[in-house]
Amino acid sequence: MDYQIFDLGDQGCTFQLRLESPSATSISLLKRMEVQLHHQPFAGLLDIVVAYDSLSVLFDRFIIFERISGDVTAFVQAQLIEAYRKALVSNDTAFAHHWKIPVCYDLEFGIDLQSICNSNGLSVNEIISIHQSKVYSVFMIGFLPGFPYLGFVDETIITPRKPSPVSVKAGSVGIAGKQTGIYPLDSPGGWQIIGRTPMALFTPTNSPPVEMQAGDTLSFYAITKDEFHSMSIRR
Amino acid sequence: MSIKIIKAGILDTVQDLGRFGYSKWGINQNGAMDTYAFSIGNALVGNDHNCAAIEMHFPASQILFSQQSLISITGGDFTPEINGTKIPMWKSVSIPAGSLLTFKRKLSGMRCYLSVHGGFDIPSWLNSYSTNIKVKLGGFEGRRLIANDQISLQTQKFHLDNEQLHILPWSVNALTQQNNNNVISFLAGTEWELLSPMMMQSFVDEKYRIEPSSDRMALHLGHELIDVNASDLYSSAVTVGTMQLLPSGKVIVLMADHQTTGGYPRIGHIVSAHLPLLAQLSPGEMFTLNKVSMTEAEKMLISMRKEIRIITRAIMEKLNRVYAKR
Repeated sequence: MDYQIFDLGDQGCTFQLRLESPSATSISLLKRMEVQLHHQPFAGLLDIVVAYDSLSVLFDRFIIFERISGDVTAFVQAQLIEAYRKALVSNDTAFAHHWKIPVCYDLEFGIDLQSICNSNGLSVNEIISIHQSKVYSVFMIGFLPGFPYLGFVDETIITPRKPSPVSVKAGSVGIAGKQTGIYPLDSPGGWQIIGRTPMALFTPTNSPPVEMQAGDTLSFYAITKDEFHSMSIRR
Repeated sequence: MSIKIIKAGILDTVQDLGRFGYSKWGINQNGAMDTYAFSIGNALVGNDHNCAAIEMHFPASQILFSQQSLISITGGDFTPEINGTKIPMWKSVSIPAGSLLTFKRKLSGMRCYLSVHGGFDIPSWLNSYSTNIKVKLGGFEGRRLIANDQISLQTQKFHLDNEQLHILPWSVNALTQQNNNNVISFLAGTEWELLSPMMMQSFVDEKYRIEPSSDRMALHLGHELIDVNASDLYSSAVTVGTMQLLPSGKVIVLMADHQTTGGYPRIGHIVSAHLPLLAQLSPGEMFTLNKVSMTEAEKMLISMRKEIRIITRAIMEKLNRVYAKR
């Protein structure tokens, strides 16, 4: 795959694949790159963030400068290219986890189901069944700790964001454009909410507090309100 | 062995240099906005450079010290006083037990740092003492400090036996952080090229105002550009200093509490060495932008970090000499 690398100011670099659209294949490749960099980190590396079509490294430029006393940008680019080359020939998929997420699509939780029905000309049951029918890729964790950006939904249930954010409950499952995602915390948000999961995506006392990662896969399955409540209690 | 908040400030939080290594889970770095003042503050009291300190905004807290302490106030000048006596900024200050720290009025800057010798005895979250207000974790109970909060102090390394207010005789010569008429340097971002030549020119000619809506998440600049055609960007990592062009045509600069990822056009990035200067600009203040090359940005960063190192070593030597005698 073709790629480009650009600076993220003086404290980061982004490696971006040139793609029509991110896919399970491309996100898995970026994830393998991340694994390479994680196992052989260069001095000064602070963070690695995989998102859709890119992998970014955030670093302390001064530490790298003192270590290599040369061109820092060229050094970081070389590190990224080497990780990419290794990722291309590696077929290690042990890191990728498949998540099965229970969702209660009851109208009490799926507060926007009715309006998507009206706008997309589908019944509630059709939306629920279409939403569950796919295995999604986790393209990014962002916005909030543990918020997965999943893609892509079937085009029949694509729905735009709300014009302005409203208050959203933790566990809410939503759709925004062609993406679907889960709110790990109570938060303002503009996604159209179709259900709620009793599963915790962010547990502050754990280290790391989030288990899901970009490059994982995920599918949803429907549960009843009773099941939702009993799973919430066990949590 | 503690400090107590007598009266709460508007936004005073425990911070360090930030929480790194968790961005991929959407957990942002937080940390001090002015990392230069923060680092020098710790140096002045003989602490490790990443030791937790309190970042204060004006009006700032009133703080009571139960025991003799060595403190420093760096960053914005809010005219600090100990028991009604004015104390200087950017100095090592030895204070007696029962001292009350107050701040009279805001003379300059936007935020200051209170560093206390030994540091605070609080739990860390994910290897950092920085406060994440959004998820209510880290720092002191994951929130801003309020009246009656009592923060325990770590055991003091130095034996402080001064029973009166005493200003230690050295001062800091912060050369790299001299305010050069509010000129802030930036590097072109990935979407810089999407601006028309005229917009590029007006971008660097313009004077920018810090809007009142600015906070620890982002500085909002009161200047409108025309929207660029980049609506199909996928989100990717952003960092402190990233300048995003919003659909409204406004520019924001991401700061310490920024989200880990963003999908707006990145037209530029403030150079690391100028983030401390930018962090000290108050709403209503004006500044101009100056486009530089990576070589220049790197040079500025190296000067700043070397300066911090030199100052830290010099102060540590002096502190050891003063307190080793006793």
